[in-house]
Amino acid sequence: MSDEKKLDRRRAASLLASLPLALGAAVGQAQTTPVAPPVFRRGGMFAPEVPERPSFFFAQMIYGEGLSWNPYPTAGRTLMEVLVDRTSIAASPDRVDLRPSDPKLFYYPFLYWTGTREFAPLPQTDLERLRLYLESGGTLLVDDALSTPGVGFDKAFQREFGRLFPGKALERLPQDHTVFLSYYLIDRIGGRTANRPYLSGYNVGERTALIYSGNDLGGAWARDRNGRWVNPTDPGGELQREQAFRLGINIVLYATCLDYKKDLIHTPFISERRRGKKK
Amino acid sequence: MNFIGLLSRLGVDTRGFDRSTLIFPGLESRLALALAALLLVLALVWARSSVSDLSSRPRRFFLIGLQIFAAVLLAGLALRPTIQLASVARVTDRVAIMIDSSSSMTLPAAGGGNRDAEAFKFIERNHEFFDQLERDYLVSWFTFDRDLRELPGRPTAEWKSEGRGTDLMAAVSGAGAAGTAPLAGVIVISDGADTTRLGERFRAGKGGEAVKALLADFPAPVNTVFCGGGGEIRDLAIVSASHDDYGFVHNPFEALVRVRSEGNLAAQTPVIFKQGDRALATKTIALDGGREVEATLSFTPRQVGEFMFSVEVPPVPGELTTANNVVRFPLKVLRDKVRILYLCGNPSWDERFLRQTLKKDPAVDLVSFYILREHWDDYRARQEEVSLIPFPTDELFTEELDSFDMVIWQNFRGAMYMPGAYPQYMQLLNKYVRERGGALLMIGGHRAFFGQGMMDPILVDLLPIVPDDRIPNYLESEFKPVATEAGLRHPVMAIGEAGENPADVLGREPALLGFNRVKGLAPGAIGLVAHPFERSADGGPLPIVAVREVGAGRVAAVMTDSLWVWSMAAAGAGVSAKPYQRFWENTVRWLLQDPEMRLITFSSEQGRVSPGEAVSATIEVLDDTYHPTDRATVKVEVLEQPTGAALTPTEPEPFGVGKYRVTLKPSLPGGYRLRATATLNGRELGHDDLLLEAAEESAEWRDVLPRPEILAEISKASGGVAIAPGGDLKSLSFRRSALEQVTGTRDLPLWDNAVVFALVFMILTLTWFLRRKWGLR
Repeated sequence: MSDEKKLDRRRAASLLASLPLALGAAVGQAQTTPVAPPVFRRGGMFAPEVPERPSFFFAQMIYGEGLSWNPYPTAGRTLMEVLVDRTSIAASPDRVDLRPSDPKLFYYPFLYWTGTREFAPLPQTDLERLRLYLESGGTLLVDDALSTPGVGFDKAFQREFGRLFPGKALERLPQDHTVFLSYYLIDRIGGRTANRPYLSGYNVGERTALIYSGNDLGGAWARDRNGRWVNPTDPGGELQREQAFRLGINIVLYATCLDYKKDLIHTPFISERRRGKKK
Repeated sequence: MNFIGLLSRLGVDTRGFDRSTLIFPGLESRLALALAALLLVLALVWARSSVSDLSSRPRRFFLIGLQIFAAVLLAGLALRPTIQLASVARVTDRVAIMIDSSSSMTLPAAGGGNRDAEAFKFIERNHEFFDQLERDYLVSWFTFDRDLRELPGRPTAEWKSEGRGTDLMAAVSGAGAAGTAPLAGVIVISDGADTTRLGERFRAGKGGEAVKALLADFPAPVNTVFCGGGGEIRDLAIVSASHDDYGFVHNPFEALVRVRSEGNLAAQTPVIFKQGDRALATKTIALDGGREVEATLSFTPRQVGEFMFSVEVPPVPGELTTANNVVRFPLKVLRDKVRILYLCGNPSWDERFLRQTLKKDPAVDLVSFYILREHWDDYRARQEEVSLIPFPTDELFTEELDSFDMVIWQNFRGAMYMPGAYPQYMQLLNKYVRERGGALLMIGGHRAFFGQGMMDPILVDLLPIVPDDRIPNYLESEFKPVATEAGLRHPVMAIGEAGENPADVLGREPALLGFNRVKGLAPGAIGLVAHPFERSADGGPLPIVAVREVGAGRVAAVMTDSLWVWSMAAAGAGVSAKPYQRFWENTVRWLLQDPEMRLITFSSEQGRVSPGEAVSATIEVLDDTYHPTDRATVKVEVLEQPTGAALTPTEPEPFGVGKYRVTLKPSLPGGYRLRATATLNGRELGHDDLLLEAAEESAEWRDVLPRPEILAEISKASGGVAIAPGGDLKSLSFRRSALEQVTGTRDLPLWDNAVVFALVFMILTLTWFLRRKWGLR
């Protein structure tokens, strides 16, 4: 039995539970420009909860047919809720789903692409749109929900990457990359799994425009309708899940602040913090 | 052979002619030469063959001789022999006498009086010598400094020594070239204080070689008379101050100063680097009599602009001149990097794309503080697990603010993060903009441009807009902003390709996504971009981009946080993202008062004038829409001038649209700073400063010591004699040329007269007769 066909019972159950949500999202239209519901932030400026206009949207890429593009319909929302809770970003909890061909794609400079299965090659026009998207300032987080290299989603994505940037390769992000210190100081990388304890990426200029996670971050973020985690996180347990959320927050902060944390003013503080962490 | 005597005896008038020569003009003609040669050959052949039948040998030889003689005569006639008479005159050589009339000749000489008085007395005292010289030679009199000027004759009164430099070698060369008669010699009367590279080379000990090389081909001896010697000389001088053409703010600026002392002076002297009357740096150096001592002084400029600096040594009692105790120079202090303080209320795409644009410019040094976490945000980690740092508000506002060229305040509610000291920080920000000339850029969002007194009144007073009290302060709606009338010409809105109308560019760009509500423009502000249909409280178009000059600084406000769509969304729509980049580049340049974007310029073609010399300066004025205007009120005031000076510029006089002229006459030496200010409709358009230095030409005064060794070397290299004013003039060396000049000629042709033709006829007739008589045909 090939890897892509192996599904444990818990995962199958969580997928079934998320099906209605997925169907609803698939039937619904992608949002246009953000006249979106306000974000309610705890302890706002004037009152305990004050609506703030959302300034960040979790956009997820639709591709292929069916729902394979959406293995965890709640992952984005959960991450956004945690983002709002822990940072100053007024992120909308409502996900925006877009195909690369969507004329509104370029209004969402952050895009999430995930899946478990191998998929058909994207239309050339979609690839060209994605390339332009990345070169114009967009950030693409690619997340292998199967968390298995060489098969399923990873296999298909590597093929598409080769079409997207011919002759180029994904490179491991060094430990001192800004994404690992944009909010949290991250030493360990994990998602639902920790099979590949690193992130890979592709740079456009000095900016890492494409970040690739092989550990199914979405799988760690996803909750069911009762608020329970859809998946366990192995082998690190809930600590690993926390790391997955921190990594997600860092990736969003990197997308919106770029190399801000590499400014000289921060360096001595970060060095000191790291020294403190090691003790 | 001299034919004059013979011709005279023959009755030819040879008066006025000294010389005669036999010439053959026919030699110049090849045809004549060929004819003559042919004739001779034919005559020889015929002469021999034609007498072959003659038995008598003597008769044969006689006929041959006669025939040859006739042929020679005829051939000679073809060459046209001529006696040329010539009048010859000997050429009179010339002598050039050069008198130094540079300013250094006004300095004292030994025995009282000035050096130029000593020179005049020398000429007067030796008038007999000069009289004889004028009889024997063609004498030309000159004065020289940097240039050479011929005098009508020997000077009979003292001349004015006002020259601003001394170029001995150029003067000598000029003397050599002035006139057609051969040069017999030169007399140079000078103190030897050459202000060109020759003087420098002598100071370096290499003057002899230089003079030898320069005078290698000079055709006559140069005699020199040294005026200015004797007596003790005391002088302290700044020889030069070497420095870069520009300084950079916050970076040390250095000047290398060379000081020379002469005579009995103190062992040390301070060297002072000044701006106006303010001493910036002082260094005490040890003096080394007669030699140059170097000192490096430095200071760190803290302001951008153009300033007058000086390097000075204090005067010494009894020194030769104090004119060389100071060197002034204007200096432009530039930014090497633009330092921007970027405060952002929370991460957003607008902040992200602006940061990316600013970071692309290597001349921008960005210091950013983003509020990544509010007080109530729980990051659920130990402090060592987060990279968040405290926001150093106190240090930024009380210590570092002035080191920034610009502050960006984006979607930032300052009061929340600066409790307690916020009003004081706003006072400092106010001073930073109004007095120091700092720039403030405020960018909108839902945390910006609050009304209802929620913004500090001092901050509100700086802004180009009046906040609106209504809530919400930010409305979301898509709209395409439009350029206002002022925006169409304002340099901030030059966001299209060259010459492209900003309105067309705005029409092409993606729609913005929301705007901050404001009441309208603040007094003195200009709206550049407006909402297409929303109105402000005063009924005017609702500003989306507004600018304002506030005191010495500038403020801009952008009432949206969605300008980033002109970058990324434009790319997605196939529209150029360059307008986005240009907008921010232009905004930063305008805020930093880029000279190319000023509304008023004040300039003069001369940066240095002599005290008392009038100079004209021009003021050009644009209105705030960058059109030349003559409706402005222009005023000029003197900001800095030397103590005791009373410079009063004339009233600005219009001489074209937006152009005004003023005349200035600085009376005293020193640095002057003037400011031109233009006001239009009660609002100041801005100002510009002009720096002017009034000083005697510094080259002449840098080194005023008499230099007899230069004169001696010139004389030696050219074969002349160097003397003092009391020396023996008979020893001066002059050359006599042996040149003659033919002043007239007369030609006496020998070939075209009856005697010669008769002679030829007689010979030919005799030949014929004898041939017939002796039986020859």
